[in-house]
Amino acid sequence: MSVADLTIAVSEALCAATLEVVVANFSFDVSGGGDFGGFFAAYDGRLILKGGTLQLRDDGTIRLRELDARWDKLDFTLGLRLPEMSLGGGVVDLPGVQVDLPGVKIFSGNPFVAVTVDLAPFVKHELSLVASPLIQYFEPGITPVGSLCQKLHTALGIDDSKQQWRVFCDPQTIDFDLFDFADTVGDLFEQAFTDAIDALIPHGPLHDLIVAAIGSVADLLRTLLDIPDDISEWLSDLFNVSLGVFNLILQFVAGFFGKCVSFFQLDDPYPMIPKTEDLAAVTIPIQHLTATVSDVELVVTADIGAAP
Amino acid sequence: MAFTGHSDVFAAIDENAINTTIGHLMLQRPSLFNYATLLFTQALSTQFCLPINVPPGGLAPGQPLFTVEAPLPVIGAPRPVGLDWCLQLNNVSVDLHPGNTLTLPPEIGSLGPQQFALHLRACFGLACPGDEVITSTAAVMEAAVAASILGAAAPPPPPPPGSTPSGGGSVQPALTARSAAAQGVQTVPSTNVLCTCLDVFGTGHFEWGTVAGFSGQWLKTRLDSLEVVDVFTNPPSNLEDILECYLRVVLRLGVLPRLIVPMQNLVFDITQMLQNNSPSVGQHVTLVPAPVSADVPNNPAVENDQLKVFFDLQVTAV
Repeated sequence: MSVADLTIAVSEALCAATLEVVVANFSFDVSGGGDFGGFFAAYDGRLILKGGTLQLRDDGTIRLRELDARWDKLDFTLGLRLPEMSLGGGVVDLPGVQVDLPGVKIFSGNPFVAVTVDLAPFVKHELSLVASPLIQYFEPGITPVGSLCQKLHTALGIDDSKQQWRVFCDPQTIDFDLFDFADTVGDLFEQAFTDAIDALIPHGPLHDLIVAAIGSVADLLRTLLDIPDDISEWLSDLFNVSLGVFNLILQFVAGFFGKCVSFFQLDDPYPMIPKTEDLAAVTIPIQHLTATVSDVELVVTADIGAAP
Repeated sequence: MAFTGHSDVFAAIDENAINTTIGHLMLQRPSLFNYATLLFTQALSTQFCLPINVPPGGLAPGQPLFTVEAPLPVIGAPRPVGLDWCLQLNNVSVDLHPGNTLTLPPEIGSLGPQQFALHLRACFGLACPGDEVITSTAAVMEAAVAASILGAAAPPPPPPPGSTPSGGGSVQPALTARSAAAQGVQTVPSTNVLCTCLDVFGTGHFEWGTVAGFSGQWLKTRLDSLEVVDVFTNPPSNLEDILECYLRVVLRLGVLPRLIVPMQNLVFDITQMLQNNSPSVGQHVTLVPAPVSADVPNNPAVENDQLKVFFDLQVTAV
C-alpha cells in the first residue's frame, strides 16, 4: 500500500474542540404557521445548541451524545375568530304573566383573538447521533445544494464559489426528542388565552352569569379549538405533527451534520502560496481525499496531482 | 501506534509530494527560480540559459516570468555600468531521510538523521560584450575621466539597448524599486549570453521558529551544507568556495525564506475554523508545536521519507 502524499490526523480531543466551536456558532431560525380551520397557529423561534460530547469509535463512526437543543426564543401564536353567541333571554312563564327577558350576545362581529406565548424556557430537546465521514467533491453550479442547505450556507457564510473537497459527518442514526410540553406550559398557555377571551366578555354583573352560561372560558376555548383534556399534549402534537416543526428540525439536523455543512474542507486547487497584492496564488491540485475514523483519531489523506 | 498518540494534530507530507509541489511552484511562480536583468524582458528574452516553463494556459495575470535584478556592476568604471546576467535554478528536488533518491557528493557524505538532501542545477548566464562595444564604451569612460579631471561636461553615455523596454516580458511589480535601480545603471550592450550550469547539492533540516512582527511558530527550512559539483581548477583555488558561498547566500536569503508560508499553511489549514471562531466560544484555541520529549523526540521530524509535524491544542480563556 503506497503512502499518501499528505496525511493529517486529528485527535479526539481536537474533534471535541471543533464540536464546541460548531455548537457555539450554531443557530437555526425557524418560523411558520398554518390555518387549521377553526384556528390559526404560528411559531417563530431560534434553535441553539448546548453541551454534547463527541466520541470516535473503532467501527469507523463518530458518536455525538446528549447535545442539548434549546430555544433562544420560541414565540407561539394561537389565534381564532370567536363566533357570536347568544345567551339567555326569551319568554319566561311566570304565574299569570309572561315576561320576555332580553338575551345577551357576546362576541358580536366575530372578534379575532390571538395570544403569543414565549415557550422557549419550557422546551428543550436532546440530540444524539451516530455518523461516519463522507467525502464529497464540490463543484460550484454542478453539485446540487438544496434550498434548506443553501439557506444554511448563507447563514454560516459558507463559500460555494470554489471547487472543494468536503468531508461531512453523515448521520446513520439520529435520535432527537419530540416536542414534549410540560403541564405547566399547557396551564400557562390556557391561562393566557382564557384571559384574552375573558377580556372580550362584557364585565359587570352579567359577567359571571355569562361565564356560568358557557360553562367556563376554558371550556369554551377547548371547545373552539377541539382540545382534548390534556392541553400540553395537544400543544406537543401541534408542533410535532400538525405544524411539522419536528420534521423540519430533524431535516435540518440531518443536513447540518450530513451533506450540507462539512467539518473539513480543502480548496482544489489548494492555494499553497496565497494570493498577494501583486502576485497570483500558487496552487496545487488535491486528489484522492480520504477520511477514516478510529477510536482515537480522524485521519485525512490526500495526494497532490502532478504538474501539467 | 496512532498518529496522534503524543499530540493533538499530526501532519505529514511525503517527499514525492514535496517534489511535486516544487514542480507546481516552479511552473506557477517562476520568478522564484529565475533572476535576470531588465534586458531579458526584451532583447535577451530568447537568451536565457534554460527555457522557462509556464502552465499550459500561461501565467496568471501579473505573475512575472522572472525577478528583475540590477546589472552586474563593472567594478571601477568611472560611470556606473554593468553587465546583463541571468541566474536560473532548475531541476530542484528534495530527498528526505533516509536518502534514497539523490546521490550526494563525497564532500557532503551521507544524509544524517532528521535531514533532507537538496539538489538543483544553477545556470548562470553573462551577456558578454564584444570587443567593438567595449572599445566604444571605453571611449565614453575615458571621456568621463577626462571630464572629471578637467571639469568639462562629459558626453552622454551611449544608450544601452533595452533601456526603454516595451512589453514582451513581465517585470515583478514587487521589485520595482530594484528595477529602478537597475535602470540607473547603464548596461554594456551585448546579445551574446554565455551560460554555464552547475549541479548543486545541499543538506538541510526543518525547525520551528518565530518571524519578527508575526505571532506564532513558523516552520522554517534551514540549509546545513552546500556543495557545487564538478568545478575543477588546477591548481586548486577558492573558485568553488566562492561559487558555493554565493549560491548558499542566494538560497538562504532569497529562496528559502519565501517557503516558510506554504509549509505553515499546509499544516495549519485544518484548524483555521477553530482559530477563526475561537473568540466566540469564549476561549482562544490555538495550535502550538508539540514540545520535544521522549515521546516526540523530533518536531518537526524528517524520517521515513516524510516531513512530520506534531501540534498540541492550546486553549486559553479570552
